[in-house]
Amino acid sequence: MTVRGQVYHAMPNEVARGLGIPREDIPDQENAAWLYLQAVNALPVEPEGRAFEQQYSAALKDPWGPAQDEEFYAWFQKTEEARELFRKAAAMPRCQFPVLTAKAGQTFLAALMMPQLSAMRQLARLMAIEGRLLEQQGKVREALELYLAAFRMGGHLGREPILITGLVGIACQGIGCKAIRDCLARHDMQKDVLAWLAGELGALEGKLPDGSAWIAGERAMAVQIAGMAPDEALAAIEAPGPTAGPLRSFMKSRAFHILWPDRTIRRDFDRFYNAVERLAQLPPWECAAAIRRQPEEKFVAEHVKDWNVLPWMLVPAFERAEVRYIQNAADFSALRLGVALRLYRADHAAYPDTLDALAPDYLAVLPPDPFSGQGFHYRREADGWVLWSVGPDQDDDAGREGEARRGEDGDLVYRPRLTEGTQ
Amino acid sequence: MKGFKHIARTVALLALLKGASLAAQEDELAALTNRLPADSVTVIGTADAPATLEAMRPWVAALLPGPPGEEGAKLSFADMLSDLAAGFSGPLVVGITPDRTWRLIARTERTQPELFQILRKLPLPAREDEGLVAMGPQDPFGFVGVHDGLLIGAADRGALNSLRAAPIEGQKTLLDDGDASLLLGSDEARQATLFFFSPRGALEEPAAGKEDLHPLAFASLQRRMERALKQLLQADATALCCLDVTPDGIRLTATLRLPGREGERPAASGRLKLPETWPVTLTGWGADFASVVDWIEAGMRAFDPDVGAEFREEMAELNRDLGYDFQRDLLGNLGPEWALGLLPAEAGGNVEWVLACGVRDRDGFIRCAEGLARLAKEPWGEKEPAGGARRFSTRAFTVPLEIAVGHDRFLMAPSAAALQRGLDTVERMEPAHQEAAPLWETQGVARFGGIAELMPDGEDFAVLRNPLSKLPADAQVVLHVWRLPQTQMFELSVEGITPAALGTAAPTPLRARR
Repeated sequence: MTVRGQVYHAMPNEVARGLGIPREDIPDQENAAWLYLQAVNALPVEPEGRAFEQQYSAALKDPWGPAQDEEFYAWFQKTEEARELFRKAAAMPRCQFPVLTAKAGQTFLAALMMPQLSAMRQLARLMAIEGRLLEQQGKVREALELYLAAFRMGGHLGREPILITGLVGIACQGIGCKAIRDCLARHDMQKDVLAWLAGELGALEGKLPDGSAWIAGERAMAVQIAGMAPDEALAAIEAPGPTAGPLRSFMKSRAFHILWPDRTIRRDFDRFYNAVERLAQLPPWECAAAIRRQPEEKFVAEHVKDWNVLPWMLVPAFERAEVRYIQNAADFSALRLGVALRLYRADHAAYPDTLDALAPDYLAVLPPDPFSGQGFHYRREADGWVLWSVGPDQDDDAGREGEARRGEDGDLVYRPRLTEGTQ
Repeated sequence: MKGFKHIARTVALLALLKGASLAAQEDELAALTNRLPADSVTVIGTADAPATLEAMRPWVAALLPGPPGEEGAKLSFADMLSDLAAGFSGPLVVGITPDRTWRLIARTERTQPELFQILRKLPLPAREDEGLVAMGPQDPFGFVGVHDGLLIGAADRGALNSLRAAPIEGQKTLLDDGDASLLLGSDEARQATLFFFSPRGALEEPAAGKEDLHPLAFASLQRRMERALKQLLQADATALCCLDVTPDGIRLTATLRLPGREGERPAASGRLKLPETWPVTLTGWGADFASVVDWIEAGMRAFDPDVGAEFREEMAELNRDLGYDFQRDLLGNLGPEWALGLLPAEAGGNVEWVLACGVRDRDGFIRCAEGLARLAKEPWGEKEPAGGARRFSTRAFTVPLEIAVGHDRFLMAPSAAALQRGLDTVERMEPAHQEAAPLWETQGVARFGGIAELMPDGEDFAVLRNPLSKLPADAQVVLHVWRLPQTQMFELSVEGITPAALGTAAPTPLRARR
C-alpha cells in the first residue's frame, strides 16, 4: 500500500501473531484504520514558508479566519476531504492499523514503519482548528463533535501494541481534551449541549489509551533482537555490517550462537517485561506509587543482569510513559467533572460546595484521581472553582501547579479558564 | 633447540630460587621493597635505577625524538632520562596499593635541594612545599623528598610518611609471602631493566561504586569480562614480569606461580617444524584441544554462571545434532602437536596458511569432520589421495578448505597449492627430551620482513608495510610460552632491532619531527 507517496507492505496477521504481536482479524469495512490511512493520503502537503508556519501555529492558539490568514485558509480548504475521512474513521468503533514494513516479507520488528503517525497528529490539530472556526460561527456543538473526533482517534491509536503509537494517541487526546476544556470556558452552553457532551464523554470512558497495550509489541521486538547475532540485526535493518566474509559468516553460524548467550538475554527480557506488565496492570495509583518507590534504573537493575546492556538500550522509558498514561486519565476525568460542574450550575445557578453534590445526578459515580485512588480535590472559588489531582508525586500540594506535568513536584490543576496559549 | 635452552634455564632458575630469595632478603632491593605496604597490588622496580634509565635512553631517543630545533633540544625525552638518572644511585621500587595510591622509594646520594634542582629541569611544575617537593600544578599529583639517604615519594603526604621508617620486626611485609619472596628475590628480577610484580589476588575486582549502577556505563560488563579473562589466563596468580632492554633488542618475560597441576605428561611424540623462511610460524606441543571447551566454559561461568550453563546446554544440543561428542570425539582426537604458519608471499597471491595437527584416530577424525560439514550444510568431497594421505575439500565460514589426513596428523590449507606446500615442507622433529619436557609449550616467530611482503600494495597498508620493510632482515618477534607443573612461563623477545634501526624504520611523520 502507498502512504504519503511511499510504498509499504502490510505484514499478514498470522505472521505478526507468530512474532508475538497481538492481532485481531477485523473485516476491512469495520476497521477504521483504512479510512484513517485514506485521510492521511488525502492530506495535502503543507506549503513551505515562514508566513504559513506562523499562521498555522497562530490558528492553534488564537481565533483565526479566512480574512487574516489567507494562505493558511487556502491550504485548510484543501484538507476538506482528509478531515471528512478522518471524522468518519473516528466514529467507527473498531480500529487496528496494519503492521507495515518497507520491504515485502520483512519480519524484523524493529524496522516496522508507522508513516501515518505524524499525519494523524496533524489531522487531530486540524480538527481543533476547524472547531475554532465553527465556534466563531456559533456552531458550538459541531465544534465539540470535532474535538471529540480527535479524542476518539487518540483512543484508537492508544491501543496499538507499539509505545510510540500509544504516546501519539495520548497527544491527540490531549489536543481534543484541551479544545473541549477551552470551548467550555469560552461559551455559556445550553444545558442540552452540556448533557449531550457529558453523555459522549461517558461513552469514551473505556476508550482511553491502554497503558499495557504496548508491552506485547515491544516485548516481541526485544525478544526478536535478543535472538539475533549482531550481524543479523544489522543486516535486518540494512545497515552496513562491521564485518565481511568469513567473520560475518561465523557470526551467523551455530558456532557463534553457542558462544552468544541469547537464551540468557531473552530470559532477562522476559523477566523485565513480566515485571512491567505486572506494574501496568496495577490500579494507576499503585502503579504510580511503585514507580516512585523504585526509579526506572533500579527497576531495570532488579530484573536485568548488570552486564546485559541490550535491555537498557532497547527498552523504552516505560516509567515516564506510564505516568503519561495516568496523566491522560486524570485529564479526562477532570474534564468529565468539569462538564458535570457546568451542568450543576445550569440547574442551581452556582457551583456546588463539594464534588459529592454531583453524584449520582450529574455523574453516576465520581471518578477517582488516578494518582491517588481517592477523590479529586475541589475548592469553590469566587470566580468559579479549582479541581486538582495530586499528580505523579502523589502528594497534595493544595492545588499548586508546580512541575507536575513534567512528573515532578506539584499538582495537576484544572480551572474553568482558557488553558495556556488560548485567548 | 632454543626452546630447550630456555626450559633448562627456567628449571635451573627455579631450583635456585629458594636460595636466591633468602639472599634477596638481605640485599637493598629487598630492603626497599619491604618498606612498601604489604598490601601493594603492583610493584615496579629495578635494582639499578641509573642503569635502567640509561638503557632506555637510546630507545626513547628513537621512539620519541621530540620536536625539531632548539625548542626540541629542551624537550628531549632522552636527555630528561639522563637528568633524572642523576637523582638515583641504586635500586628503585614503586608500589601501588588497592586505593590506587603510589609510593616510590629509591636510593639516592643527593640532598633535597639537589633533588629539587633535578626535578626543575623536567617539564613538570615542581615547587618546595613544607619541606618536600610538590610535583604538578596547584593540585600536586605527588610529593617527593630525601630522607636518610633515600628518595621517597608518594601521591600524598600521609603515604609518603609511611615510607620514612623501616618495617618493625614482626610486621607483615610484601616478601613474607613465599611466592613473592621467590619471584622478587630471583636473579631475573634483580637483573631486569625493570620488573613488574603482582601478588596473588592483586587483581581482585574492587567493590562496585555508585557510579557503576547504570549498565550503560559498561562498568559491570567490563568487570565481568575482566573476571572471565583472569579466569582464562590465570592472570590472578602471583606474577613477575621482567623487561630487559639492551642495545640489541627488548625481551619481556613473565613467570606466574600457579597451584600445582596434576596431570599426565603427554606421550613422547615428535614436534612439528615449519620452514624458517615462513613469515609467521606458531608451533605447539602437549596441547589438549578437548580442554578448550572446558576452558571456554570456565571463562563463561566466571563471567556469569547462567551464561556458562547456557554454553553447556548449547554444546549438549550440538552433540545431539552431530551424533557424536564434539569435545571428546573430535577435539580429543587432535594433538598433542600442532603448527600453524603463514606462507611466504607470492606475487599477486592471497595470504595463505597451513595448519598441521596430530591425529590419534584417522578414520574417527574423518567421520567427525564430515559430520560437522554436514551439520553446517557445507560441501564435503573426497579427492584423489596423495602421499599416503586421504584428501578432502570442504568450506568453513565461506573459506574453502583443503584437508589431507595421514595416519598420525592432518594438514589444512585454504588452497590445494598451499596444502601441497605444507605436505612438502612440514617436518617432524625428533621426540622431545622427556626430562625437561614441559606440560605444554608453544613457540612462535613473526619475521617482519616476510610480514611486510604479505601486505597488499596500496596506500591503506603503506603506513605499516613501509616501516616493516625497512627493518633489518633478521628482525623478528619470538614468542615462547610453556607450562611447568607449578609455573607458567612466558617470553616475548624483539630481536634484531636496534634503536638506530627503529629510527630508520619510523614512519615519516615521526621522523620528520626530529
